[in-house]
Parts: sequence; structure tokens; C-alpha cells
Amino acid sequence: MSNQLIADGILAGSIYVLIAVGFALAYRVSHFFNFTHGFVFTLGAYQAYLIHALVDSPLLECIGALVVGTFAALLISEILSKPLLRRRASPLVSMLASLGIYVVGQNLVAIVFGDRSLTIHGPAVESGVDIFGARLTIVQLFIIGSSWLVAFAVMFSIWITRIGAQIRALDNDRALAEIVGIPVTKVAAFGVAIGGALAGLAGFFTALDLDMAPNMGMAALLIGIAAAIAGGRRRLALVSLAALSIGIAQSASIFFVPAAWQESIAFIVLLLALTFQSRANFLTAPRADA
Amino acid sequence: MTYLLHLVTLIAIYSTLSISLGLLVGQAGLFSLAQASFFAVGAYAVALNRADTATLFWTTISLGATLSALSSLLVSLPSGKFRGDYFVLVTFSFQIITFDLLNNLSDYTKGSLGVTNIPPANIFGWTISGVLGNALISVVLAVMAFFVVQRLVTSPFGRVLRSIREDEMVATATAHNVMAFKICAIAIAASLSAVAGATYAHYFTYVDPTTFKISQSILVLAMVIIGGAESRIGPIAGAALLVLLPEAVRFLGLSDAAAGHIQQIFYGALIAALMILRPQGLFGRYGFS
Repeated sequence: MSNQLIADGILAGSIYVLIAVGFALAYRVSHFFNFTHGFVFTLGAYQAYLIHALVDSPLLECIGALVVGTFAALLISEILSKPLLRRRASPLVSMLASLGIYVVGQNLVAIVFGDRSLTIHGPAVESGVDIFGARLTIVQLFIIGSSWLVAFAVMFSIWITRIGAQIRALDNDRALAEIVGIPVTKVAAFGVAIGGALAGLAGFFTALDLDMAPNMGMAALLIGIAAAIAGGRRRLALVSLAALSIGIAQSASIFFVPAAWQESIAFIVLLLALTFQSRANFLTAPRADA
Repeated sequence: MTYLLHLVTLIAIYSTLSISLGLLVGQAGLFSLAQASFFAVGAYAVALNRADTATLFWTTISLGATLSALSSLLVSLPSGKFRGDYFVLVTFSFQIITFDLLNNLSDYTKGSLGVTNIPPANIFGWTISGVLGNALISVVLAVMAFFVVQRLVTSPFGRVLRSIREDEMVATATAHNVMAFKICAIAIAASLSAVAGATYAHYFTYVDPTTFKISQSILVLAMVIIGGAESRIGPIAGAALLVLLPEAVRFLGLSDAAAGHIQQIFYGALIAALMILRPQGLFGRYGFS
């Protein structure tokens, strides 16, 4: 039974890894807590519902999630980030503006699709596979595997590719990056696009495993923020470890407290991360965007 | 007429909330997303106390305000050193945890069922049950909140808050205990919100956790931002605008749920547009960049 809880935690945590790595990547190029990341996540789930209504093809839904995520994130960044950047808005103002867009997006989804939760999988129970006494379906194993594959691919390419180095340079010092001839606008758009694709994919995976509701993005977003802060925001490997730990902690907490408290657990992690990270003296360090 | 008085009551309750948050946002530069939790403390203080015994209005309202000020320490003590976007995140977490507490501690708060049959307010032996009485008492309390905040804003206390907003380092260098001032400001805003919560509970005679969700906190913050944080009438204008808007939408023949969504879309878009174009709000002077 306890193995089952840990397996469930790993499943949830793997989806959190996608959210958190995407969020952290977008943070590295835009330097503010972008709430619209949660909206892109919701879109990733709902586009699967639309495609599912036409054809029953998980592959098409998966591609749709990546495409919708990428373009939604780019579009939002065009509307939101460009004018804010031009005005040299503080991270606080940018964050509040993105909160506004998030509220608009969530309610548009609620008007179009309704408030109740929707699902894309049928009533039939899929057969599972036994792993150390825990039972996971093939779909769930696929979600875990591809989440980590995608997350590692992104981390690895940030590490070794040219555009990855440019993203790191942009993260370090935007002005300096511009001076040495890095096309900052393009590089930033690239980071936002990848972040959006990961959010869309995570939304699709959540829809595939559980269900979807218009407000699903908020919880996902806050877990992304919690993991990103706990992992130190810049080190994607630590961020993904933090995301996985939040998933396992939420699932294992069922041992101690009722399931209704799961959401609070993520926020307690966020509060602890904020408190201890500031002890580690990185909140007080001057930010490149300040 | 009853309907108009109902709107007046709502605007007054929300004005009290936005005036209290206006003190934090406009003066101290602290963007709190936890105001609905303090609203909840005031409402539940009345609901849980009043559900069994009939005590005086002033007793429960001050009980709510005191409890709220005390519980604000849970926010201000850990978050005192955070500013800007990090303060938003801390208050955000606090708000979500409060909602979970209200929803899940059903032994104490009656959980998602809510508390029903809250008796009307009783002031000096006079029972306020009608719409007119409630409108009067909520307007009186909103006006009181307005003058309390105005008094604070023009006092040395308000000046120190503004200096903290502009530059914490300078405020510290001039021998001001920044942390203590922040804690005080957050506690005052919390107890004023609790007063709004108490009136709310008496007026609706029913409270449940969904009234105190994060969306309520965002709504109050939207009222402050839209009206203009450092402006005397800003928070009130913002409250009136956002209370009247869904009512106007309802006249178009849309359902309550759709009206709620349209209200949220409206203020979400306004927050985004104002942040991009005019961060000082419609009536504000102070522009945080």
C-alpha cells in the first residue's frame, strides 16, 4: 500500500517536473513569476478535450498540447511581456499583470467549457502493471517516462547547445548579453516557447491521467513556483528534484493527514522554500532585472 | 428600493475591505492576496459566536477584529522581510491555507456546509434585521474605516509607511523599525477587514468557505488597483465599479454563474491593462513602476 502511494507520488511528481522546469525556464528569460503559465497548462488539457471529441488519437492530442502550449505562451508574451519590458516594469507589476491575464483566461475557459470537470478517458478500467507491489497503468508509465525524457532533454540542451548558453547569458545579465550581440528578443521568445510547450504537455498529461477543470491551472502554477523557488530557480536539475519531492510528499501525506489537505501541503512547501531560500541569501542579492 | 439598499450594503462592505487593503498597497507598498482570510476571520467570529448565543454587536465585532489582528501575525512575522512579488506569493499561500482550514476543520467551522441562521446584529438592544438597518450600519462602518485610514495616512505613522514603500534601507537608516511598522500596518488592515466580515455575516446570516476563496482576495486587490492605491476615493470607486458591474450584467439576462465569470474577466483584463498602461490606477497619483 505504501508503495502504491509512492508510485502515485512519482506519477504526480513527474507531471510537476514538467510544469516546474517549464516555469523555471520561462523565468530565466523573463525574470518575473508569470501566472499565465498556469493558463497555458489549462489550455494544454482543454485542447485535448477538443481533439478527443473529433478523433480518439492520443498522439494527435500530445502534438496538439505542444503546439497549443508553444503558441499560447508566445502570444501571451507578445501581449504582456513586450509592453512591460519596454516600460521597464518591476517584477511585481509584471506578476500582477500576468495574474490579470490568468484570471481572464481561466474564466474564458469556464464560459466556453463550463465549470464542471471534464474527462477524456472512458469508464473502462485499464489493466495495470505491477512494480514493487504498486499498480500503474500503461498510460501512467508512459506519462512518467516521457515527462522525465522531455525534462532531461530540455535540461541537457540548456547545458550544451548554443541557444542554451545564450539563455544562460540572458538570465545572468540582459544588458550585457545584448552588448555581446546575443539576439535577446529571439532567445527570450525561445525560452518562453519551450516553457509553454512543457506547460501544455503537463496539462495534457494531467487530463490523460485525471480530469480537467477551468481552475486546474492555479494549483499547477503554484506547485511550479514552489518547486522553482525550492530548487533555486536557476538550477533546473534541482528544480525538477524539488517538483518530484512535492509530488511524493503530497501523496505520502495521506498517511498522516486526510487527502483534503493535499493542496495546503504544496503551499507549506512554498512557504518553507521562501523562508529558507532567503536565509540562503539569494533573495537579498541584487537581481539582474532590478 | 430594497434592491438599491442591498447594493449600497454590498458596496459599503467591499469598500471597507478595499480601504483596508488600500492602506497596505498604497502606503506600505505591500500587495496582499490574503485579505479574504481576514474577511473570513471577522465573518466566522460572528457566525460561530452568534450561532449559539446572542451577544452584543460591538463585542463580536471587536472579538473578530482582535482575532484577525492576531492571526495577521501569522502572515506578517514570516513575511515581514519579503517585499514586492515575494510578499504576494507568501500572502497567496496563506490565503489558500486559510481556505483549506475553513473547508476542512468541519468540527469547528462546519466545513463546506457553512454556518446558517446567524442572528442579526444587536446594537444597544436595537435589533438590525431589515435591509435599511444593515445598509446604515455597513455604511457607518465603512465611513469609520475611511476616517481611521485617512487619519493614519496623514499621521507620522503613514509617512514612515510611505518611506518604507519607497526605500526600506533609508527607513532603517533613519532608525525606524521597518518590521514593526509592517506588522502594525498588516494588523490594522486585517482588523478593518474583519469588521467588514462581521457586517457581512450579520447581513447575509449565512457564511461558507467559498466566499473566502483566493478569487475574493484577487477581487479586493483589483478594486484597490483599479481605483488607484494611493488615492482617497480610489478604493471606494473600485469597489463600487466591481460590485455594480455584475449586477448590470445580470440585467442583460445572463445567469449568475456567467455574470460571475464576466465580472472576473472584466477585472482581470483591467488589472492587466492598468499594470501595463497606468500602474497608479484610475484615480491614483503614486505610480509604482
